[in-house]
Amino acid sequence: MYVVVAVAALLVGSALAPFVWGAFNEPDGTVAVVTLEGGIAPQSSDPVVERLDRARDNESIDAVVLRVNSPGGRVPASESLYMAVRETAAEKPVVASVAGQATSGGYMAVLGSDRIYTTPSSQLGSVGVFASVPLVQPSNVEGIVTTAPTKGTAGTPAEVRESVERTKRRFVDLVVEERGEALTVSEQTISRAKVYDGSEAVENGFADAVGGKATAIEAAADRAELDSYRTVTLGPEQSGTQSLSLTGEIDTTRYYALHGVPDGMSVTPIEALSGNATVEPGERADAAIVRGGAA
Amino acid sequence: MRTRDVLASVGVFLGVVVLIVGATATGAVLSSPSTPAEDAEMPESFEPGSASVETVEASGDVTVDSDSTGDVVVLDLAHGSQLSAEKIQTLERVLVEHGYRVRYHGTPNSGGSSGGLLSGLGLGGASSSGAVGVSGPGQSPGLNSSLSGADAYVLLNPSEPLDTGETAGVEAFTDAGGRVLVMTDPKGTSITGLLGGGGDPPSPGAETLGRFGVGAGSGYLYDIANDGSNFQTVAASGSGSLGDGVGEVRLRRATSVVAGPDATVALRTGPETELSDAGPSSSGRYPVAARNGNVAIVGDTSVLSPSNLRTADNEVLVGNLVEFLVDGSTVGSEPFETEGPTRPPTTGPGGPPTPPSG
Repeated sequence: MYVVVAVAALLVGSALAPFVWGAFNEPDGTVAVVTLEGGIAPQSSDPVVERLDRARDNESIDAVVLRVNSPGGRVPASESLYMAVRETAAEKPVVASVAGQATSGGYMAVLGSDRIYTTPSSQLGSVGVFASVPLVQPSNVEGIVTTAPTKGTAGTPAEVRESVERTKRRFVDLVVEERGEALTVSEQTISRAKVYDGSEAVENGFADAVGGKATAIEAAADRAELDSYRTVTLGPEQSGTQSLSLTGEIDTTRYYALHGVPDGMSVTPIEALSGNATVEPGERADAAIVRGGAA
Repeated sequence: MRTRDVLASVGVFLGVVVLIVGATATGAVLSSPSTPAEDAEMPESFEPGSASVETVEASGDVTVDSDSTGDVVVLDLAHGSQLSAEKIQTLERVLVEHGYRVRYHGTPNSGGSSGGLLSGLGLGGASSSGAVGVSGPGQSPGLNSSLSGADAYVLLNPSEPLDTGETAGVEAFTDAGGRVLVMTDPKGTSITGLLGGGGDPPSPGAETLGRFGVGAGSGYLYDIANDGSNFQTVAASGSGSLGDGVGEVRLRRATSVVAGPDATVALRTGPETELSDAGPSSSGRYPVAARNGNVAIVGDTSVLSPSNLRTADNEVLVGNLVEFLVDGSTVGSEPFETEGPTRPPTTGPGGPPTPPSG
């Protein structure tokens, strides 16, 4: 009789043991790693924004590490990334880990995080923008009828120049606002669009500390008050550099928060844009670049 | 079974079902992320209107206060002139509207302008009211011939040097009272090298500006501290006859000019202006226009751009430049009948400008 009772107890205990074990050994939470790699354009940044949204909405994720190696890219896409990071940081800790570069739009993205770690030789900064402007103005092309002189364009050269300047100022103001008292450089210095290595960036307040991925994950867990945690990677690990394609069906003015110049882009003085276009319909003109800060 | 027992059983059954369903629903409600996260407050820098750009009033018209009439001004479209058609048109229009005549020397090569307004309108050739001649490569009568009977000569953003004979001719032209104006943008090479005087190695025999004690550098000026709509837009104030009435001009892309001991600075930038190729700590008040007798140089062509012509006092400056051109003497053919003076080349004030102290 007692043997039967003991066997029954063993069976019941064995069945319950895994649950008891799990109850005492389950990590306190989860740190998600989201990667931003390469040039920032809608096709490359939208998946990252989506992963950040998932990390924000998923209650099982307690903190996020944004792993960044990006020279920046299109301004609207960079702003979308920044907003996604900031919105996520409003819900749970977000720590950025720079490995390679976080320049221009790439730096804008990490500004929304709670803390920025960087390797010593990574590049950060290049706070500035430029615009590429098609030389073709529809109102100057024979065979096209428009309703206004600048219809189909970003405006007059002066208007494009002002738009570039406004975008630059927003960017500079954002750095000042987000980095706050950590900054040891003036707004005017930021406007110079300089690139700093990781060590310099920590000194001037562009970043918070030197550290790699593990350090960033640990910091994120600490901020989420996790004594134990698991790490998950959201989305596929990106590799290689996303190219910023300039070809497309629609050629329009594009604003870049980019450190470097995309392949295939040549430079023409913007004043040339208000002259008579000599490009035939269907022929793509070279792009012009307007600088706002030496991006 | 009694009715009472049946009712009790049904009641218990329903109670258990309600309890289970209720508990399940409650658990589902509590566990679902049904309350969307509130939008994070956006930074102030993203608020509409937070990043305003200074706009400078654009008003006024170009006026020319001169008693001269019918003067002939030669516009040099040769020598690698790199100027947009609209800028050439601005100068043409101002000259013609005020009763002066335009003569073209050469045509632009590739990469340069696409021709002037008047030539575009078929007004090339002899005309008593507008263009009085267009000559180009292959049909060029030579610069000296173009200058014969003219009052002024304008080099528009040249990228190629004048040869020995041309340089001597220009000097003879100014010696005879003709006026010379050079308008140049920042370049990769020094204009003083192209036209003689120093900086980059001068082309053989090319020495024009250096002889007149003026020159220009190659880098662009910028102002990070006070940039008006773009960092390459610099403000400059005027002095002397060229700068008369010029409280402030806005130059979109200017280079520093060099004024030798005998030249006077006509335009000078604000104190926080920097030069792109001058290295760190280059802040200072850079000269962007200078005059030495019958020769003047302006390190900017953006004032001729229609979109910039009426900004600030830019139109006053353009009026002053035209007055300078037409207030000289008409030069006949005599200075060009013999080979010009063969003075030894002189080293002008070329080379990269140093940060000004003022």
